[in-house]
Amino acid sequence: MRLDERRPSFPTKDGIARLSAVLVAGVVLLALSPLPVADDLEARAGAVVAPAAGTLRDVARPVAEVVLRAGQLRQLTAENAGLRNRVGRLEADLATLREQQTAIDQAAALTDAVGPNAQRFTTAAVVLRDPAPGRQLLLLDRGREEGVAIGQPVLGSGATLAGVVVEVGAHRSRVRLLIDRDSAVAGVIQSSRTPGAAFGTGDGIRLDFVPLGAAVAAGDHVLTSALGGQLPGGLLIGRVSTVTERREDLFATVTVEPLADFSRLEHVLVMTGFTPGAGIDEGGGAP
Amino acid sequence: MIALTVAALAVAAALVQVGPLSLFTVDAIASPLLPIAVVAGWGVARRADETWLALLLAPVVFGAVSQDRVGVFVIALWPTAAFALLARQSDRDPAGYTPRRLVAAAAAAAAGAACYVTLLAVAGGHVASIATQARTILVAIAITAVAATAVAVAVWPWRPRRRGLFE
Repeated sequence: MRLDERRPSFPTKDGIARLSAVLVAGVVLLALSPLPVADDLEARAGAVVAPAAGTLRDVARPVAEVVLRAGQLRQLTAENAGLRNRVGRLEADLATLREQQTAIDQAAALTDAVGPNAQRFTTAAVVLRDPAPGRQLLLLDRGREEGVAIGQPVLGSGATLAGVVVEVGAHRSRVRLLIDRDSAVAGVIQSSRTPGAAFGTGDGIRLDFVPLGAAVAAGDHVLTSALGGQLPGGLLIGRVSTVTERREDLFATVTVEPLADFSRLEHVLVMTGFTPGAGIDEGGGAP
Repeated sequence: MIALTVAALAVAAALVQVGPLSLFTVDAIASPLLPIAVVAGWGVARRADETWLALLLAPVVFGAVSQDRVGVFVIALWPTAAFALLARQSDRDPAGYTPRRLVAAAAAAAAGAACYVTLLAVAGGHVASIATQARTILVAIAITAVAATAVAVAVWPWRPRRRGLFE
């Protein structure tokens, strides 16, 4: 193979101009990206890219299994992941039982927020993860045509909350995981009913706005709050891992450990029966 | 034709990165940035301007599956070609001195990867994540540099060479 060996080895003015044109093209593409046609084009490209990458991923999966399970460390990691899932499921069951007890007192409020179709789910496969560094988003193979809508909660292993749908296409949707830096959901500490806001930190979850002195301890479960109607109440977010209180602060620093292993999500449940804010809208600004 | 070849390599690298590679890594940051390795390795071993089409097509793969737009990825990938260009400009001997050229490919890839991560973090409003995930990012940059060196070695037989009078 001979690749144009008569050309000069260092870039000419034409070459530099060509690279400069690429930069200009990038800026132009970015400037045009708010246009609806850009969304349409990217969706069309996604319809080609996602299956191609998914096929490559399926082909490589057996190799990945062999590599990831090679050696004791990998085996222990896999066993640990399995045990974590099991603990997550058990804790979810426990949390559900406890929540049922609490729900006797708060059933009316929670039911109103959850809405009548809260038990309707659809199973979705995780097609790809967002390749942009720092983002924790998943691409699912279900979209508007399958009843998925923006704002619907997505559950991972152990029926714990994994994230929320943020974008929807005809047959694709994008989910922002709880650990994403742009994620924020209303939460409540199950034992003390202390409310807070669960923010993603990139690799974990932080519960903010928990007052100093609130009854919260490591091991407490954190659930979603129906406050605001953006999520149904009672979904398990995670477990409090550390609580730090400093006198000079207004709020305690509470870190929450997710019970689902977000890095290994392959299938999720989308709560297609839930309509964010439906209860509030129907209430017509009830007190 | 050459630009198409590099573009095909870069698109394949992007597909591998968003597809199979995600099975081996738990975080996009922790994985090697394969299109950057292709652009840097090819750009230093041969010519940086031959990667112009790759700089436009590889981002389409990323933009199609990411919340970030294609234009952001084009701009984020571009500095890699610029660093490859600079590295190539500083070594005008067509035959080149192999180890030096390979080090240049690794350096261009490392600098390009650093710019790529920084620009995407800025675009996504996650600048603080650079500090908190510095160690992971450095590992990814190092792996990308090694991958770029491998690409440069692979492309090396087709580097531009000084032709003799009767060749």
